[in-house]
Amino acid sequence: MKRDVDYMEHADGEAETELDADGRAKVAAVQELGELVRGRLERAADDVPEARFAQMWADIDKKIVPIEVPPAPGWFGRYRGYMLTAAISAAAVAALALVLRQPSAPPAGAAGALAPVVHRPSEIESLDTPGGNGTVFNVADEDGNTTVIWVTPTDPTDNVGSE
Amino acid sequence: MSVNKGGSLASEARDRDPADLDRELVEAARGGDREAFRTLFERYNRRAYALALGIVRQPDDALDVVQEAFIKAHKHLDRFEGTSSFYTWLYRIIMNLAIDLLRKRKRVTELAEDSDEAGLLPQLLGGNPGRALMDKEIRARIDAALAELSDNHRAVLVMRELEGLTYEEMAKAMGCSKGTIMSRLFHARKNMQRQLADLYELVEAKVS
Repeated sequence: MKRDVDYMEHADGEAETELDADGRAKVAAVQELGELVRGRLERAADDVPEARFAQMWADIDKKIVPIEVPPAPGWFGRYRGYMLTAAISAAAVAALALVLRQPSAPPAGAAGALAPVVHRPSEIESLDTPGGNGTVFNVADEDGNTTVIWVTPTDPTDNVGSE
Repeated sequence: MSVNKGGSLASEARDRDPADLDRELVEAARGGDREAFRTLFERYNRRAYALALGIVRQPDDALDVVQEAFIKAHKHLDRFEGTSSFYTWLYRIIMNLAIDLLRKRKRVTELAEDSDEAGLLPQLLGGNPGRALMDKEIRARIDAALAELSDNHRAVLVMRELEGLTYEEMAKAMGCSKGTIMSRLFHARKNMQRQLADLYELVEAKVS
């Protein structure tokens, strides 16, 4: 047997109940009472003059504390987060590259590998120069070695009368 | 944000999803736009008043509750998460303020579980309650019947009929069990029907 509270739950959409004629009438009466209450309160709200709400707004406007809006950040401020992330990432990559760096030279004969630069002293030891003899030698100095070509002029009188 | 923002949002109101518009208005108000908050006030002041009046009964008390609710809402706009509508958030503030007001004025009467075994009445106002409400005398009778209810009974009835809250939502709002809500609602309705019993004859005579 259905109780009135079951009909009420049905009317409020809280539960489904099979309705007989009496149940249907009670559900309809509950819904109608709801319309009366709702309609009465809405009508009372509509009856408040607009000027009363305008006055209320004026009072509210005086009482509400202005919301402090922080100034808009500049370019750096807006992107500071991204920039910091990028800087930290770059530093991490650089540190990793430094740690994992291979100190050895590339394998000999590897295609495209550049030969290491080695300072070698000149292998030329003498030069024939017109009117003299050139001697080539290396002189050690603060920059390493300096190649010097020393030219000794031939004495034009050496061979005179020797034949 | 400029003063015009609230105004332009208000003018777009007719073409917009109300929930989306509310969210934008709240966002603008959070940014310091008072006109946006004013638009929210204008959208909901009457609905808020109807709810407050249903609970506190006195028109001046209801207006005080509405004013205080909007001031409080503005103060705590940063707490509005946007997961529910602005009005759902506002009505909770109104409910709390209205119930606090009743408590302060010691109007809250203990729930008097009547031992009357009588149940709901199957009477109808000729199926036209809207037309019945046009009559001033009938409105006065409804006011009187609402005034006869205990504060707890009236609060539950108003939450249900005006806001369509579920039993669970009402239990949460009032800090009691769902069973208590059902009991209050049942007795509120039954008492209203008893109070208005002779109204049905009056309406029949006036409306038909």
